[in-house]
Amino acid sequence: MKLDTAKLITIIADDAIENKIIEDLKSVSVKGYTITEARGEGLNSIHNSSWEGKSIRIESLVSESKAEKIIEIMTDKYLDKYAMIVFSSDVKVVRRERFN
Amino acid sequence: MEIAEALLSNLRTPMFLAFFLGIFATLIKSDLKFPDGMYTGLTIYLLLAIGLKGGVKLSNTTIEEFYKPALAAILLCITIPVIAYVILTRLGKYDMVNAAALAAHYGSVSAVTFSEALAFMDSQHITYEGFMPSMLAIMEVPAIIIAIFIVKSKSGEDSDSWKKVLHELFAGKGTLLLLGGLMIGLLSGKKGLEQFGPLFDTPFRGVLILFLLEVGIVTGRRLSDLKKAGVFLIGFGIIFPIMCSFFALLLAKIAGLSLGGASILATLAASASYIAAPSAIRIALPEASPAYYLTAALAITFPFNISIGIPLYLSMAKIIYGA
Repeated sequence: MKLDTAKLITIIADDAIENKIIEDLKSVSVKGYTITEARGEGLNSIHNSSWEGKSIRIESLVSESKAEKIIEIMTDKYLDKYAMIVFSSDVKVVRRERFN
Repeated sequence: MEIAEALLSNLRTPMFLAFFLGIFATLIKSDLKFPDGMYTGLTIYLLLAIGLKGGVKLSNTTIEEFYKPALAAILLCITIPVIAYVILTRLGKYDMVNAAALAAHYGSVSAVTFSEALAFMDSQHITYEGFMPSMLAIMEVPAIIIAIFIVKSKSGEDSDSWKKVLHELFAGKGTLLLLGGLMIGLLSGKKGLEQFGPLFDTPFRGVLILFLLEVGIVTGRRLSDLKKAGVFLIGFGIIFPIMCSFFALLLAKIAGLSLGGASILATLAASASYIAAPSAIRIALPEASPAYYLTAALAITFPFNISIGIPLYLSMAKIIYGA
């Protein structure tokens, strides 16, 4: 089986801005994403109950250049204002053409 | 001592005791937790119930009876956030964003505090106008918009984010259920009440107890934030509502509301939202810290209102109305 490299972008953020983030991803032609619920603590937030809002993890498989672009957008638009974590990791995928 | 009696009887209601149980559960580190779905379900039920019943009552109201109190309500929900903002920035030395977030909460209203006020009036056999839930609906959103506007106009943000905020406010489930329920109740009238009464009218107080238990749990978790909130905010969370209630009572008298109606309007003015406002603020003013606005609304003002506030506002109303 031939596996190619790709990038996995992970964004952990408040679910209040879920739609904004998805719009941003689509604006750089990201074809798909997966959202899971998350909870935890950070430097800014202490509890994560349904009152303070849930956290979500958005993941998407993208090319390296898209990964950089996404991180740039998240940094410009959200990192200063919202509690958010964004990082990219290396993965190996099949059908790499689907993630460009 | 009438007011002390009223106060004590208020503290012994199952609703308040459930709230206290929630706080107690947190203090002894119980693992009691409401599943997220249940919280959402309870909120949907409560808001829809308030809207539906309010709508039915509204269908029996004439415009003449309604327009002056409605104007009073509008005046209140516009001025309260502005006054709050000024006090918080000038006296409290809060920054623009946190002051605006707090102003949004205090200018808006709490449906649960409202329900408590109705229950209290009933227990004291004080009648009130049937259209009071419409006052609740009116006063929910405008203050939040004004508070956000204060911030956005100063920082000059794009109109795009405005659209999102307004969408969140008007299409958000709080407003939709309240106004939608009102419409349904209004249009279906008495016949409608016969059909939904057994679910939305009779069990209402019982469901409120469940909800207050959850609120107590969340409030208990926030108690440690009281230290961060500081003495000024604690004082503000008690004194500002009393000021608002007084202002509301004067307006209520001018608008021709009954003693009960005035007390409820006063409670609305004194209440701070912790359902509608926080979700709007999380999107519009993310830099604002929940340690201030949520703590103030939940851990200071709400407990004050449902324990001492409501009986106090009734007593103040009695003095102003010379009853």
